[in-house]
Amino acid sequence: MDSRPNQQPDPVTQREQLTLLWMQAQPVIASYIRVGVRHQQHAEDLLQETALAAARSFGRFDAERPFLPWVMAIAKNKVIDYHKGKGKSHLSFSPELLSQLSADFEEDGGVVNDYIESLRHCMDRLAKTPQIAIELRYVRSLSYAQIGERIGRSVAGVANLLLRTRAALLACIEARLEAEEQR
Amino acid sequence: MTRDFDRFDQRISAYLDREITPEAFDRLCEDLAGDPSLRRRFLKLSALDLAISHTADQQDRHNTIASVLANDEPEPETDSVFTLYQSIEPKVQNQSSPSIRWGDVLPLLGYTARLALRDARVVRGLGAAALLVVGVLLTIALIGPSDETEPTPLANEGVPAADGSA
Repeated sequence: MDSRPNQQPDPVTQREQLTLLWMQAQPVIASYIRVGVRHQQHAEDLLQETALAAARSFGRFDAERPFLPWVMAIAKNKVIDYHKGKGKSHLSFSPELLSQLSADFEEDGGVVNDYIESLRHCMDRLAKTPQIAIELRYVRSLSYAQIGERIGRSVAGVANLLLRTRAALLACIEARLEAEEQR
Repeated sequence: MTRDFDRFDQRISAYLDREITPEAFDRLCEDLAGDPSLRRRFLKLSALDLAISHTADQQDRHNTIASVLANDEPEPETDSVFTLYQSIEPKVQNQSSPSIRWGDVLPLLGYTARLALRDARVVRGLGAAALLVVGVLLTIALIGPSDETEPTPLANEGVPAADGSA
């Protein structure tokens, strides 16, 4: 005879379970939504909507299966719905590409946590102008033209500067992570 | 190949900055749909973008903003340092203002203190303490209006000069 209790987990346990799973998946989901929706506020709204939808339908989640693909499917549908009904001039990835990207993020999207940990060290190593460009772009959300006015560069110059800065940061972070792995 | 990779990075960077043209966006979509290694690169740069945003949010909370580093003109809507300074400064000046009308206040304080002492003999501490609180509140209420006629130097000013003068 099966000795396991034949009952559903109580709501408190279920809520705790969801919280734990969501905390693990959240950076990946946030990263994916941010890629699909470049408007920061809209991306944050969609992240909250995804969390809410996951909470509402968590009772139907099979605990024997991994949580990330389940919640990623919710996020993907939210992003696809977001792009529906937008004008023709609105730039959006196709549903097929969003599906491909969601699969990639399920596999490798967790790197964002490692990147956050290594980023500050790599930011400190940047020269002053790239640091300022990054701050103007990310803290003040300025356009290329506005950044160019502040630092005395053309629009193309700013685009190139941010491109090279990102490449340098990524190389620094990856080298750092690799060195940590070898330790 | 390297040059193609650079172009791809350029498009990603422009996409992340919301500065991409429709033509470049179409090309980016084609590249992403056809090549898993490019999607991997895209994922890494996107993760970096999110990590920078996360760090920038934290940095913003600590008021380390670009205008301070660049020494350029601050924008009032984002420069919380000056907003905070302006909201505090007039209150500090009001507190040290010499125009308190003590002539109006002292008799009232004396009266409430006498009442409090007399009351203390009867009902002891509690009633006396309440009367003292009323006295203090009345004092504060009387000091307040006398300062409303004083100009607040920074209320209509912009940003203080670099040497600290208003």
